This record gives sequence, C-alpha cells and structure tokens, in this order.
Amino acid sequence: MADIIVQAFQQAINLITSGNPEIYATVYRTIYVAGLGTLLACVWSIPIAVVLGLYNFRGKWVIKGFFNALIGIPTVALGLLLYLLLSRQGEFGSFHLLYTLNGIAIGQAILVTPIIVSFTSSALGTADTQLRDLAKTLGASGFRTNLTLIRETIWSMVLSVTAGFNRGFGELGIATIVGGNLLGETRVLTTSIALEINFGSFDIAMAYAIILMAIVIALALTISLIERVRQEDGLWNKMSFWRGLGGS
Amino acid sequence: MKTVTKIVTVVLIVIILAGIGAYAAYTYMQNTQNTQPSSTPTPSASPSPIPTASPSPSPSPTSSTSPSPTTANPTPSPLPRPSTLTVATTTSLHDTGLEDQGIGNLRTAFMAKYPWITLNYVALGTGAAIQAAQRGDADMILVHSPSQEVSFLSGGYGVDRKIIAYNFFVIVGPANDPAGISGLTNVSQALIQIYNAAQTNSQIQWFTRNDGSGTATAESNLWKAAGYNYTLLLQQTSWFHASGQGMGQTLLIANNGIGGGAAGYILSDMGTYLAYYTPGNIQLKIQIQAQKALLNVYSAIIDNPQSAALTGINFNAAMTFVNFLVSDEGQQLIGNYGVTSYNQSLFTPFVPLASGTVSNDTLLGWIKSYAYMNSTPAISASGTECPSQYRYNAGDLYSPSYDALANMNLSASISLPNYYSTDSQQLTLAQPSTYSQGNVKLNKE
Repeated sequence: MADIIVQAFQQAINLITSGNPEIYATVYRTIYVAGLGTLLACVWSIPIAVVLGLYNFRGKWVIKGFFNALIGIPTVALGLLLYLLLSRQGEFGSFHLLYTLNGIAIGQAILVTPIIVSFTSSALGTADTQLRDLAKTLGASGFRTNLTLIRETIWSMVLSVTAGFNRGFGELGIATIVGGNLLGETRVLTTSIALEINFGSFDIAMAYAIILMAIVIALALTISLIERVRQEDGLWNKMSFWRGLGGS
Repeated sequence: MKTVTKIVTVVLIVIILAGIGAYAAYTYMQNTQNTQPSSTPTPSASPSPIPTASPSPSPSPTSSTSPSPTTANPTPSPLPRPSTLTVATTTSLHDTGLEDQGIGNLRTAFMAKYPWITLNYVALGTGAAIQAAQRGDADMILVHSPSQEVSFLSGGYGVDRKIIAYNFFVIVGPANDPAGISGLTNVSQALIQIYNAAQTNSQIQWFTRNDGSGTATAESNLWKAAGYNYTLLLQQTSWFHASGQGMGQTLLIANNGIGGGAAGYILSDMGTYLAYYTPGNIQLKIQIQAQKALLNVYSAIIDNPQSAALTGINFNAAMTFVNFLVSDEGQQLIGNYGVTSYNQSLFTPFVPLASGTVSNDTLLGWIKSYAYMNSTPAISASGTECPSQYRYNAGDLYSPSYDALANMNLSASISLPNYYSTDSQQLTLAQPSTYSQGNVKLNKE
C-alpha cells in the first residue's frame, strides 16, 4: 500500500508538470461546475436561510428538518432524478442540458442548497438576540436589523458556502450521470478518478485524488488565513511580509 | 395546542415504525421456515450425489467411508469442500445477463450442477479485469480481446485458454442515418464516410467508449484499419465523443445526443444493444452488422497456478467451470441465451464450429485469423486456441481429435442464428431460433 501512495505522489507531480492541457482543463472544469453551482445555490439559498433563521412561523421546524435531512442526499439519487428530468423525454429536455457542464452545475446547485440553507440559518438563528434588541431600540427598521445580524454572522455564511463548494467539488454521482464523463467536454476530477480505477491504473487515480484534495485544502487554508488576519487586529502589521505593500 | 400536535406526531411515527418492524419480522420468519432442510440428507438416499444445500457442510474428504468403485452406486461419497470461484469478466459480457442475471444464465445452471462451488463475477473493463486476475483477485478471466489475451498468456499469468463463443459487433445509429452508411458491407468505407460527413454536417456524431475494454480496443482497431489515428480523433470533440464508461451508458449518451445535438453512431456489441433496444430505452437502429471486421470472440483463461504470485487460486473450480462452458450443456445454454428475452440468441457457441459439428469454413477461418495463437505467442490463423506451452493439467480439454476435427472439411449443414440477416431493419424475428436451427447470410469481405 505504501508504495502505491509513493507512486501516486510521483504521478501527481508528473501530471501537474507534464503540461498536458487536458489535466488543466479537467481541473478548470471541476472548479467551474462547483463554483457556478455554489453561486447559483447562494442566489436562492441565502434568502431562504435568512427567512428560516430570523423569522418564526408555524411549521418552521418541518422545513428546517427537511433541509437538514437533504444535506446528505446521495448524489447518485439526485443524478438519477436530474437525468430523468433532463433527458429528451423528460420535462426539461428542451433545455438541452444533459451531458453539458451547465447541466452538472445546476445539479450541483441543487445538491449544495441544503448545506448552505441549514448552516446559515442555524448560524443566524443563534445570533446574539441582544444585538437585535439593541438595533431595534436604536430605531432600526426590520430590514436594517436583519442586515446587521447578517453582517455579524457573515463568517458562518462564508464557511457554509465553502462547505457547499467542497461538496460539489468532490461529488461523483451527478457528474457521471448528468455529465456523461465525456473526454474534453464534461470530464472532471472525480470522474477521472473513477475512470482510472476502471482502467486499473490506481496510481494515476490516486494522483487525481491528491490533486483534488490539494485544491480543497489550499482553499480551506486560505479562508482560515483570511479569517485569522481579520480577527487579530495587529496581525496585519505583524506580518512583515505585507508591510511593504502598504499595510497600515 | 402545540403540545398535542407534538404528541400526536410522535405517536404516529412510533406506530408506523412498529408496523414496519412487525412486517419485517413476519417476512423473516416466513423465509427461514421455507429454507430449513426437511431432513438430514444422506448421500445414498438421493439418486444424485448432491444433497440439498445446508449452510455449512463440513465433511472431511478422507473420513467418510467410500464404497468400492465397482458398485453400481453412482454416488461419489466424499463431498468436495465448498469453495468460491471468482471470474473476472468484462462489463459488456456481464451486462448481457448471460453470466448471472438473465433468464437461462450460466451461474444458475453451474451452481445447480456443482453446488459446492460458489460462482462470483467481478465485472470491470477488460484492462481492469485482466489486472484483477494478474493480482490473484480472480481465479480466471472471461474476456473478448485476443491481443490482451496474448499478453496475459505470454506474461505467465494464464493457462488453458479456451474460446467459448462469438458474435458480431454492430454499428448502430439514428434511424434517419444522416451519414448514409446503412447496409454497407465494408466497415472501413463506412467509417471514412462518417468522418468526412462529420467535418461539414453537425448532425453526424460518433460516440466511443475509450475505457480500455475489449470493445474499445476493437473499435480503435477498426479506425486504424480505416486509416485514422484514434488519439487524434479523440481531440475532435465537436463530433467525436469519448465517454470512458461501459457499453450501456455510452449507448444512452449516443441515443440522447449532447446538449441539443443529434443522436449519434456507435459501435456496440449485439447483446448490450438488444438489452437496451428491446425495452425501448434507446431508439438507435442497426446500420452495419455481421462482417469479418466486426467479429467478437469470447475466451476463458484460467490463472496460472505455477506462477509464484498466483499459487492460491482455485484452479480446480476454474477448470470445472471451463469444462462446463465447453460441455454440451454449457454450449447449449450459451447458444440459447437471449431467445426468451429478445427472440434471438445473443451468442453463438464455438465448440460445434470448431469440432466440425457445424460446418462453416468461412466463419471458422475468420475466427482463426482473429483469435487463434501460435507458439510465439502471437495471433495466427495456423495456430490453436491455446499454444501447448500454456496448457496445464488440461485433461481432455484439448482432446487431439478436437484439434484435428477443427481442420477437417465436414459437410454438415450450416446452422447459425437468424439474426445475422442482411436486413438491417428487422431485429425481432418471427421465429425464435436456437443455435441448431436457422439460416445464415453473412456479409463476406
């Protein structure tokens, strides 16, 4: 097992430095579908999350439970549902989304929605109630109050969006069923891994997995770093590397 | 009010769960009662040597007394120890259902005859299946890629190769046939026509698997024979689409088309195509079929127990299975498979053709030049199914009369399945045919 891991790292370096445009294209496509999917999901998820987090109404617990449950929806099940809807005989077949990148993106947007809704709404729900009262006593309208609360919890929102992006980045079911894993058109990192496994080339498969994890980890570390810089007031100054760039 | 709603909801959920649990328990009780053996079986009581299955038979081969072999009792008394046979096979062969899923499949019949052998299939692309066997994860392979089989033998991984059956690939495509290839008798000409038409007509699309399977290898050989470099073709993604997946999935993609594009042409094996066409999952029609260039030959090779890495494989069970496949019963099963579900047989058994029971020199010549091997080893029509240095403990698997018969010119009547007709629109035929009946018309080169 250890030798496969070593070979895999060697293959990963090989793949990255080989200059093969197909590898870069695959990485770009993965980022594209996950990014577009997450962006689309934010468009409708954030308002839903705000409503769920900040307002009370009858049956709220049902809807919250519903979204919580859908966090773990199997991607093959969702891929299957989308396939039936998007194929020529399906209801949305005329949109011609099957076996295209945009089709995968829309599928991932649906996949990622429960994650963003759940985490954001629970963060908003536990926001400081004293802050809400303070804003109200200072004369803020309902809308301004909510805006203030959102600004306070924006970091949780960033985390939930990142979690959504990671879920879309590493999912296989939708990309395979809706995308079709077509070489040069809809092949992404996860489907490449599955393909290489089927070929029996386990070192190349693991190399793709390493590239995938490297991107995810790099993204997570970047966001953590930004959060750390934001929170510690003097950190920006302490980091002499940035001082020359005009940090105050 | 709120409390009441909560209590009612909880009670309802408990009742539903209890109901499901009770039903599950009831079904479980029913099943265990049905499978309990009625009495302890004794070998002499039943006419067949095979007692009804008990979950863990543990007779030691030497402890039971064996009657003298001269008695008329047909029962061999020591029951063979239960074992597992793992067969690595390709997805196209497996997806036809011949191996374990369809009506009249091999697994049911084999395990009925040899219940102490548990038969399992590992279905992967040809490349991965061969890799699995090389690592010893499987005891034998059942594949359809002569070039890769040559490497398997020459690498010392396999012994005792036996050709089991054959059929033909088909090129299927949209019913309106925009490239106009329907009925052509020369595959290379058809591919050239498709290539040229695709440069200008966006309605022409080709779909390929490119997943290292036997079908993918056969297809890239066809493109090579037509004068094209397959790797360069892969880059023309406006009309040449590679899915990297199995036959069924790629057929679905070809049937649907990309985005708003037209349905496309694709090389498929007959079994998978029928399995998808018959229930109406795809609407592609056969355009080209049954030619020398589209021959598809299935072989079984057992892992080489003499190899240091493969000493632990179940050679005896694998040999039993290969013998079953080439026996009359096995060949009948193979030849009749598909008649129930698709009104035509999907495979033609090879042993009758090789042994001369069925006489068709042209077809036998095609198969020999495609899948026979000489001692190098290399593909050669003057060779045999398995060069002699790769035969190990074969018993009478390669009986000399068998090889001799294969070269004899017997004048028995030609018998091949009906579906090799030149009428590309006629798929389901009026008479379901077994492998011993029917006419054949071949597109000869």
